[in-house]
Amino acid sequence: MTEVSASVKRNLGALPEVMRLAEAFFASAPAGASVRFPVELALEEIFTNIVRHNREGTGAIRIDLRTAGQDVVISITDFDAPRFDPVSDAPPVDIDKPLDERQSGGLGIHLVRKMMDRIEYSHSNRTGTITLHKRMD
Amino acid sequence: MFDIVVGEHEIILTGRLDAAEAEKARGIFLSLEDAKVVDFGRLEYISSAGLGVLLAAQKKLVDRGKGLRLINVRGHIRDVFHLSGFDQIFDIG
Repeated sequence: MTEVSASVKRNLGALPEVMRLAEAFFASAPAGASVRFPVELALEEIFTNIVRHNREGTGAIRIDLRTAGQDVVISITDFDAPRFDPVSDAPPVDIDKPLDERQSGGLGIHLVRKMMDRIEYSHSNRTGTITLHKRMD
Repeated sequence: MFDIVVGEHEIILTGRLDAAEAEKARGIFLSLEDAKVVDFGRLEYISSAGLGVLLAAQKKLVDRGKGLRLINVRGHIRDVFHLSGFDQIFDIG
């Protein structure tokens, strides 16, 4: 089993550190580019969503990446968050709208929904965790 | 690492266009006055932050009867464009 984790600051400036964590994970995880790219994208989208939308939150964000059976499992935990599931509570995005009606908001979560195989959310005592599963086969 | 080189007719993107780099790209794309070809052949990664920059630039240019043409869009980046419906609002080829 491959597992890496880190606590990172809750600002956009920490994104390179988040991506370095993914790089360290994929250096030893038995997963190819077809898994790596969606996992990196989902990690970025959820992390930036937390940073942008939970502005009152304090403290670090915890990120865990691990393999479990045939899955890569990504957990992102905010220890100071109101109950808000960014994936289930976000409105759907209509990707068939003409250009002049398109908005970029919501596109990141839309991609996460499309690219991950399973998404779970838990919240208790102001601690919210989003767990994403991506199959490696 | 992300790099953007603007030529007379072509923009070449290299590396990773993520949320940390999107502002650099936004400044350049939103200052475009004319149609351009954007070469994705050396781009390794794009997230919604980069897609937002492309969308804003395309809206501005199409309003003036112009637009971006995207070339060498392959692999994962093509998948992201398809899942976002961007293949319907950009000239890709």
